[in-house]
Amino acid sequence: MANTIIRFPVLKRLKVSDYQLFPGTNGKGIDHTFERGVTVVVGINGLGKTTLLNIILRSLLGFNEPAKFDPYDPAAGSHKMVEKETEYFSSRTTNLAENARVEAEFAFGSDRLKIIRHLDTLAIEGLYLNDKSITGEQDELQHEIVKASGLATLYDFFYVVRSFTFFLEDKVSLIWNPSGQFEIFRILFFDPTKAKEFAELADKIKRKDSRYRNLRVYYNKAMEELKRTEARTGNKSTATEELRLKRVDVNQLEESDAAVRRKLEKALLGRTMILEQIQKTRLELEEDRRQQEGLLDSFFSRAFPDLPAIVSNILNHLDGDHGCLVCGTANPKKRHKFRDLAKQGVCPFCETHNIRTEKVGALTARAEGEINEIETRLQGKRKNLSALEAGLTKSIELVDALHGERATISSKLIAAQGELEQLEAKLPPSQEELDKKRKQLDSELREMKNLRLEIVKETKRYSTLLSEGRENIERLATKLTKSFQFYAGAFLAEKCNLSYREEKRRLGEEGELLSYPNFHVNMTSAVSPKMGTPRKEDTQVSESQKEFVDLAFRMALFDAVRQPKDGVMLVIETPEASLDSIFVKKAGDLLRKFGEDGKGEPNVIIASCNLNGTDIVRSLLGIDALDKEAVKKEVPKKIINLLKLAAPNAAVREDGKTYQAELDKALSK
Amino acid sequence: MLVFTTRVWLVFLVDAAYRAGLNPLSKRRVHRLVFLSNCLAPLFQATPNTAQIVKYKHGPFYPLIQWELDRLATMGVLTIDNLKYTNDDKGWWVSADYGAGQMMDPVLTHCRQSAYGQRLGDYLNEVVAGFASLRGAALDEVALRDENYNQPGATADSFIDFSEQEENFSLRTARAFRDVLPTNLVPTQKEELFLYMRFLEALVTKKTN
Repeated sequence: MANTIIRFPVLKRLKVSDYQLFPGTNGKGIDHTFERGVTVVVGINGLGKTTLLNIILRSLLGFNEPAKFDPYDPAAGSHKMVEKETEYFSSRTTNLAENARVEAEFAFGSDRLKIIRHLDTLAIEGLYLNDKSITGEQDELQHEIVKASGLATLYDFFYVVRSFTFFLEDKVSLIWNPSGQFEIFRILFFDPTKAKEFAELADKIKRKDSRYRNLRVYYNKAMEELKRTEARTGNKSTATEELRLKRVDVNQLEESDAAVRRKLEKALLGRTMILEQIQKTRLELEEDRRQQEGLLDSFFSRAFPDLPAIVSNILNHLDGDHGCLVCGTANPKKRHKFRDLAKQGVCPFCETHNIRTEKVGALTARAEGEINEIETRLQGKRKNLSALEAGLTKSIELVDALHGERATISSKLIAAQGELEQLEAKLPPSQEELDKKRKQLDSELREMKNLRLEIVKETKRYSTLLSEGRENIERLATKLTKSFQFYAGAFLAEKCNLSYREEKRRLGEEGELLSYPNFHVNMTSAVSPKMGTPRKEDTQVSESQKEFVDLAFRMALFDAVRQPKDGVMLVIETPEASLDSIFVKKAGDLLRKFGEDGKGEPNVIIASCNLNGTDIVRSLLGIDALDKEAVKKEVPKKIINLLKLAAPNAAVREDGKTYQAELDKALSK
Repeated sequence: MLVFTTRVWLVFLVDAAYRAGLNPLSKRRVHRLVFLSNCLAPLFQATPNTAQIVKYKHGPFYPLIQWELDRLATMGVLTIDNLKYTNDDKGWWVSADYGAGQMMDPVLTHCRQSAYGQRLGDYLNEVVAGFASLRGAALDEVALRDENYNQPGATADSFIDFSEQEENFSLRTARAFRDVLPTNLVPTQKEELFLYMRFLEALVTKKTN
């Protein structure tokens, strides 16, 4: 038997305040003192029965959870605890549970521990041991709660509370799940320090087993790759030659590409230079034309001052050899006609010598001289411009051709570079690279061997601890079996007892096959009424039998490990859910008896029940065994009536009276 | 093809100026608007009509565009008035005013039937609207303060080529405003254009003062 005394938490008083879900009567919330025996949390769907049970659970555990935990496969998890932020309580409100608090007072043996938590964060606001305040950081305060239980670690406390004391819908089955059963054995029957070492060893071995398997997959793959690579080294010379030739190709293409690029840059520069020259020549031409037009304009504008600008513009353009604005011709045929007419002093359109032209007179000799000079300059510039424009055309053609050439070379170069990369990838690595790879694989192989050795060594220690623990469990086997038979007999019509046998299981995927202590159920049946047959899985019994065999096992375990004067607590979620009508009465009777048993600290059973027409509430509270006076006096103390204490949902708002009448009927004598 | 594009560009510009209350447009102003609209075209994913220009004593001026302006006036798409030849220390200059001619509306209607014409028209409307929003005294000066026209190293008669976007200093400056604005304020193309015009106006004011 373990040296340390384990004290299970027993709820004495629960206060929930400022939580929207449970406003209570007159907004005072819930304040309930738990009496010896059964207390029923009664309500209908959606009123918060599960939430209230979770408030009790979380008042003990806070936001601490295992990093990985599956109630249906506890062996797959780890014992590492983490802080998990939870919005479970705040998300059920519209004020994020601001100021909501739970104040829960538990008995741990003869000690009293009062825990006050904020419901939104689950942080501990106050902690009192036997009315004496304890201060510290959150983890220190949580440690004090664990310490009160006598358990070695927070994980063990979590497991005992979550999987043993609480019998929730998503629970670890302690009778039908061998690894779940062994975990509670480890916690309850091993020496606490060894239980801790045992759990840590299990985690360590599983991690190493996983690392070993991963390494092996990688190693085998890398080894195969190395072998294939080594096999290719025979063709190395051919591949090297092919690679060499491809490198020559790529180099040549790179050179060609660079040469075309240089040509293109030069051609672009040439084109820009021509463009600049063209633009400048055009501006010079423009200036000369302007001057020529200006000189001629002095004649026409004096002769015809009212001529519309459009006509003057056409005339000046033609006259200044600036093109025909009417048809768009750059070099009109009769470009000198208008100038000649101007020289003669006649109308440029009807060629009449009239009073207007007479007044103005002919172009002066000076002006004519200037015009002729400009004409000569213009002719030269026009020729230059024509040559430049022809040069530009050629330059553009050259640039286009070089762009085309470069595109061709570039695509060939990209293709050749791709082929080169492929060849390089195919080429076996150098001897140096192969040696490096081999060394790496050797190192991984060494790590695998070391891991294997460590696993073997640690498994040996684990087996030793397991043997020690097994002895403790075997010593308790008789007591446990006897106790179970009593409780199961009260529940079940069939004869049912426990049988001890070793359960073989590997530690990790490929760990050593180890034998773990395990109790399984033997039960008689219609076809085997005298001799019980083993029922190893929960599918081998009915739904009612499954639940209550597990419950009977827990009661037997409590009896086996608790101190004679200590109380225990069982929190059961909707026990009626899986019971037929006969079982309802039996279950109620037994739970009530278990709750009222004990000469020292009282046992407390908290069961949440639906008002669904079954007799479970009546049965749990033992109404039939009480006289009228006792019902009136005692029963209200054992009821947490959510019809009155919880915020009414739509069903209660509509049919609250009917539900209350149903409850009153269930509680009536 | 380039001839037609140039003509469409000019018709849209003169029309936008007419709508913005800048009618008639002086010849000098037409060339400067053409220059600014060429510089900022990539801001609206438009292709400049021409991305090369020679820095000229009379300010931005395009001989080929002048020819097309006069052709459009002869065709009746634009009007031409106040034709005047002057000679001063900068040499001969022909001043003239251009406006919307009788044939402009059918030409515009035709141009706007294509997606290209529609987009170009919208862009040039934005440029002229930005330009017209500036102080009257600064209007003919802003092109002379433009970042391309005044790019580093550009002296009289320099050839300016902003056909590559990284060498388009006007565009780069217009896009740089987003770097100095608060991070949650991303300017639209139009806002970048207006901010750039205001920036040029500020440069003109600074020089005047």
